Amino acid sequence: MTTGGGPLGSTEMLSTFTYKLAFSKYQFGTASAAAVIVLVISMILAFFYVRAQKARD
Amino acid sequence: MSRARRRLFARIAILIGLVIGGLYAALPVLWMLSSSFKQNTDIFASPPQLIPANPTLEAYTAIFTDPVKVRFFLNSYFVSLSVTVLTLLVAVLAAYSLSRYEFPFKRVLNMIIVSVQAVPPITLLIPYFGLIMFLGLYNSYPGLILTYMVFTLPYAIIMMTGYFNTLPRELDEAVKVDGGSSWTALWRILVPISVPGLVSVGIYTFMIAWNEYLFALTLTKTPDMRTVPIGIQLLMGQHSYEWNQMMSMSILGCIPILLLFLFFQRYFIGGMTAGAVKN
Repeated sequence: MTTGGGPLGSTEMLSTFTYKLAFSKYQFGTASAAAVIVLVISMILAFFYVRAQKARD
Repeated sequence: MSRARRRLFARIAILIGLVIGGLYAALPVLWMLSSSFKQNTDIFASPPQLIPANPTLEAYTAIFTDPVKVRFFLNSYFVSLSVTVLTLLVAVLAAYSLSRYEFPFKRVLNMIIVSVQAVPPITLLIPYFGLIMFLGLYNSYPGLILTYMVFTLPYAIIMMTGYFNTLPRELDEAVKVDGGSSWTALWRILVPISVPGLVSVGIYTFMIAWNEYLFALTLTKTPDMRTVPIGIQLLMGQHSYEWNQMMSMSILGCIPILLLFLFFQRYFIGGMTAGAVKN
């Protein structure tokens, strides 16, 4: 948010990119795809986290 | 060096580290506080002044005399309080059944409640936009309240279930022996005992609802429905950047959470650890 996406989108983050795609450029399909990618990334991280938790118990 | 001197040295070093860390965290907030009392032209004055040379209340008066901005605060208070009350109600009922009863699909339900929290909010943004449009709740209080509850309920249910698990079942049995039903056991015995847990869950819920930005931005359109975080952002770039008004609105927005934390601190710490123990 501090750089507003930076020069030509170089400091853009995935969340703000999704929001801009959906509500500024009205490309809901592409934005949904970006949202699903965020979900997949967080699920992968969560999978490793849960595995580490189970190993600790 | 003797042991006593080494310990004193270590304690001084830790104290210095804590002071530096505290300043690092607190300076932006202190700067925010001091900027809210400056005139707009003094904010970027060349030698930066922590204590303003000409303190003025013009930012605060501009906010309190503008009905649009006061409406932002009223909206935020109304939505956050409604979310807190409804979340606590639903969480108490859910936690009672999860803690005291066994029923088919209980484990599946538990897993679903926990996994709702694992989904990042940006993923839910577009489907929720479509859902709220379909239900006709766009730009309305119920739309915001129901959406916020999706984020506050999982944590509230988990914490209250943990808290109820620490309360002995003999209490329930005593109520049944005295001829009461499960309903009386819940509302007359368990809930009054659980006040610390309720307070800590309530404060956390209020904080989440108060600070919510993404869904407030997406699900509201007209200024009479928007909340404080959006209001602060709207001060940017409409006519000009009103830095001192932004700062004072931020300070006014911090005050409820600060007061809640200050007054309910002992409940908060106790409630957080009580609900977290698994047995």
